[in-house]
Amino acid sequence: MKKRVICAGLLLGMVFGQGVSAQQPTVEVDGTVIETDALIIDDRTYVPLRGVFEAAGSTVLWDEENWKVSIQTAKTVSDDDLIPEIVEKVSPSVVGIIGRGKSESYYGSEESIMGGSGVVIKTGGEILTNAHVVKDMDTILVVMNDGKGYEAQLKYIDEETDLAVVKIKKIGLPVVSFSKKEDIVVGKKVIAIGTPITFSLRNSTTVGYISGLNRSVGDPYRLIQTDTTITNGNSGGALINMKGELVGITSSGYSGSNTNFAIPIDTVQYVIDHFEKYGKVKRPSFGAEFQEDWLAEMGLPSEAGLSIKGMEKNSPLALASFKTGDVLVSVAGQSVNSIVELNELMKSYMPGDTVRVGVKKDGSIQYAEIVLGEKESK
Amino acid sequence: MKKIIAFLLCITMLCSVTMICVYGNELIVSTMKVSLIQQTVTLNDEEFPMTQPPYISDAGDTMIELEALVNTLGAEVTETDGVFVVVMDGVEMRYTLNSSQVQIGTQIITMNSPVVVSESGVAMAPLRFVAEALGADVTYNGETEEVIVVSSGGFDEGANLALLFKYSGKNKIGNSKEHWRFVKTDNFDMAEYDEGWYDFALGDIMLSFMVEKKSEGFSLEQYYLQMQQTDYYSRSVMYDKGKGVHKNVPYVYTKFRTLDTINERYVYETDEFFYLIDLERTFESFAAAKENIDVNAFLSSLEFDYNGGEEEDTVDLATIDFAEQYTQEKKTEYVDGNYRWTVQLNDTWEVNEYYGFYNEVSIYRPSEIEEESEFDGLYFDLGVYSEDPTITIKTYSVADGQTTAQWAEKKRALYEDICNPEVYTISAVQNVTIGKNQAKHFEVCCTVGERQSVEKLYYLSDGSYRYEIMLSYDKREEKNETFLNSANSVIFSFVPGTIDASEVGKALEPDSETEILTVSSEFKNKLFTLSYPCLWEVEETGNGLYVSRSGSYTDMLSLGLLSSMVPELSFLFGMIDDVSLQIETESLRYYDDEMNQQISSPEAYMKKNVAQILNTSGALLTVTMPTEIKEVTMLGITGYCVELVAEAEGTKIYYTTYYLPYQEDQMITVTKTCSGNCKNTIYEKALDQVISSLKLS
Repeated sequence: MKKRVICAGLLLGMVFGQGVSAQQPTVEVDGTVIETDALIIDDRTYVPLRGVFEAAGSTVLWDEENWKVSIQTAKTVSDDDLIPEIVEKVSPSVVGIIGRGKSESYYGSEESIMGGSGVVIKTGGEILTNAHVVKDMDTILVVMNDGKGYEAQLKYIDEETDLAVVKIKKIGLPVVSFSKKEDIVVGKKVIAIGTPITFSLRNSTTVGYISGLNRSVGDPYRLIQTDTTITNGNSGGALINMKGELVGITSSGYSGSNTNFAIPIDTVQYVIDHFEKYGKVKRPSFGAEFQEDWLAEMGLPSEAGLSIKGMEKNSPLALASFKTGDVLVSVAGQSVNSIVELNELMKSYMPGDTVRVGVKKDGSIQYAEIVLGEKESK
Repeated sequence: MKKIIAFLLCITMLCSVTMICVYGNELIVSTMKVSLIQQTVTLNDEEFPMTQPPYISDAGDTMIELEALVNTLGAEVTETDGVFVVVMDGVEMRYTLNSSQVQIGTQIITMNSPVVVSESGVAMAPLRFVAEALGADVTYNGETEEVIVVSSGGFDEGANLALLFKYSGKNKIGNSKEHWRFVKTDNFDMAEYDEGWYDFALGDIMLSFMVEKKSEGFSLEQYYLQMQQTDYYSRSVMYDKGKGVHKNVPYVYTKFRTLDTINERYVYETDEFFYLIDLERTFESFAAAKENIDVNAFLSSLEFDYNGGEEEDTVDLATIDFAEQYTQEKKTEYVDGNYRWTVQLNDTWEVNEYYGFYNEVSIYRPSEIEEESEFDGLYFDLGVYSEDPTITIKTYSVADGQTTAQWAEKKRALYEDICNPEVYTISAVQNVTIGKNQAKHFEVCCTVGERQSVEKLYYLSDGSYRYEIMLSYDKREEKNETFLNSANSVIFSFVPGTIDASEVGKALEPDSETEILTVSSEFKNKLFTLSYPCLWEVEETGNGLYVSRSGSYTDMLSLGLLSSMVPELSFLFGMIDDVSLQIETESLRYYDDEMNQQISSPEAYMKKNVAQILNTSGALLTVTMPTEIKEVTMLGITGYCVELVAEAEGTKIYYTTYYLPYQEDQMITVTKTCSGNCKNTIYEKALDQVISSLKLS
């Protein structure tokens, strides 16, 4: 049937084919180039109906008897329909994590029950969660969407990014697909799915928007800020975009406010890559402690660079004869004005890599090639 | 990623793959080493033939022979038209040649590198993805420059969350001499050694453990039946039985129900021993209680042939010795063993920790009453027997939708049901405050002759638990003016704990005691059939049957009366069942002075019998004359009914006897005995029901 329509299109082109352009136009539908035999005849573009409409999400039907083509245009799905669909699709990949362990409080260390959420990242049983959820658990139990529980082992943990991977002895698990970093855009709608164990075993869902990016809030890496309610039990749960893809791991929030945070997918991907390769996150180090400008500290744009507060003996900066009080202004040609910025930039480097740094010293910027050290990971 | 791969290629060239494979039930540990430089693969240090050596794909993945890897990890693989179907633990994975898309179960996942055909014609797939999808761990050890793949070594079926959470503790309790072990849980309270049995409590579940060396030629079933026979006589209803195998150990089991109690009995057989385990628990809803996660978890954690000592987590029985349960230490504060509540003690009150074992703790102080009569203390019909004033604190889980007021009213109604108003006075429910909690309170006073016993009951809830506090004492204690103040100082110091309800086993409230589940049986050479409440007992006596409500007695002094009425019970030395039924058949034949065999008339027999009873009346015992002798029809027989009341020391016993001539020369007598405490209560009604169920077969 598809062939028939295309032929019909071609036939039309042949019949009225006086002014056929030699050059074939490219047809894009929603930014995706589709393969068509489009033609331009007398300044009009002729395209195969089916190819174009199907690419645009419509249904094309050919009625052989009546020689009729009917096109059913795709209706926009409202959020009301879409959100439950997404939640239903993603929920099986979001698990509850509970455990018993020692927690520190004002009264000292005491045994308690702790909980959070996690996201299945590997069909073979690996589950991503927050480091703080599983850090102090003696026994980690993963509760799947169907209410069944599995004992899990802590596989990897990185407290700096607050991410950890636990593993259960179960295969064929539904995994969640990762979004692209570029998909994290302020204003986009997101859904937080988590499992606040204390209330029920069902996955709880809250909807909101990405309300900010790159917010530091004392964290060493950039976070997604969202007004999506994230409760304690949601920690380690999934922040999902309207395509049903994971954009972040819900992490923390200011209790009782609409300001909540999630670890963005690029940081997640970076940490998982390192976990797989090294079993931990291998971070390059300058062997130095930096002081942010007060503007940067408050999360405001700053152009003051990072002043060197202190250095280890073998700091690559010291080896390049920089001193305490000097100001780091650029790394690999990019200006750095906050610690978060520096940490984000360092995600693409490994200990032992060589980078070119620009340091403001005695009023002028001096450049040096330095070999990065390795940061001890927690 | 690229960097590390290059690093691997150029420098390492050696992958060590450790695999633990599952073939059937056997665990086989294999180590596979893959050297990229030498292009060789070894499995357990022996050469492992690979058609195509591993290599690194353009996307940076280590590519390995799909079928060889999958087989080594213990999964099955079949290939049709370039589609490789891998099955493990019921999960199907479909790898397609020249495609990055893999179907795992119902979902489609994209790999970094596609499955490709090597020069030598075998399918090559990304090692990490394939191995991880089969549950293996793939790690890279930078120091030894090895990639290590460890299979999961088996899969987890998942468990009921509550069970898993509760039993995630690692402590195991075991007895190396008796060769068994099980997981110790948080609500595991105590162990006690008593004549071959180990008794434990898991929350409100009682369990007993007995181990016996096997005798020659004794089968599991034979042993089980023998153990059933030696059990005390009790007519329960069996609702389930069966057999099975637990960790290669065969077992048989039966499950019984008596009124509000479930008894499960398991016998396991190993090469050397028989293990008998008895579990008992009470319930509110039989349907819900049939399956109990505590029981299931306990049973599934059982290990036999345990020799002990090796695992550091093992708690040997010796360390939780019975003796530890008693404390000599004087305390000013007592904390319930499960941290559910605390009370302040004062110097006269002590805690009997033994009772902390259940969801019940008893606090008592030595009685100040000097006993004059030979009565030792009091028998409380409501289940409390003590010479000493006692404060009993019971902890129950919260009942949905029931307020404390409703609970107290329900309890009070229960007392009204079971207490004869002539003997007991029950106050109305009042409000009191215990600490910060609103509580409900009522009082029950029992008067028997000059003696009075008092029960003061308090009900409160903190949202997580319900608490019943009961003070019971002999009224004479009040002669000491400080007594009530002292008792109140303990009761009103009660502070509920804050522990999560899920932490502790759920307590059950024996509210259902008044429920009557009847059991029908044939007795005495099938002469009679009757139905009776299943908590009651039926004994077959020399001439008939004796039916009684087990566990409750009224004390009576007159042995004379008892022995004439119920000769079989004279061993009770002055105690008589609160409610009972005696059914006898007796011969009317007798030998007169001239040794002639005669048959007495039923009337004569009856009159002689009544006269005999009246003759026992004396200083200690008064028997009131029957006002009339009624003609009745019972069991389809027309006979007589005589009602008598005996009274001793203020205790009344009501007797109703039916005399029923049977066949030519026999007399059936049915005697209903009801103590004053039980007159006009549900117990008497239950007894009447038993009588009306009586049939001649």
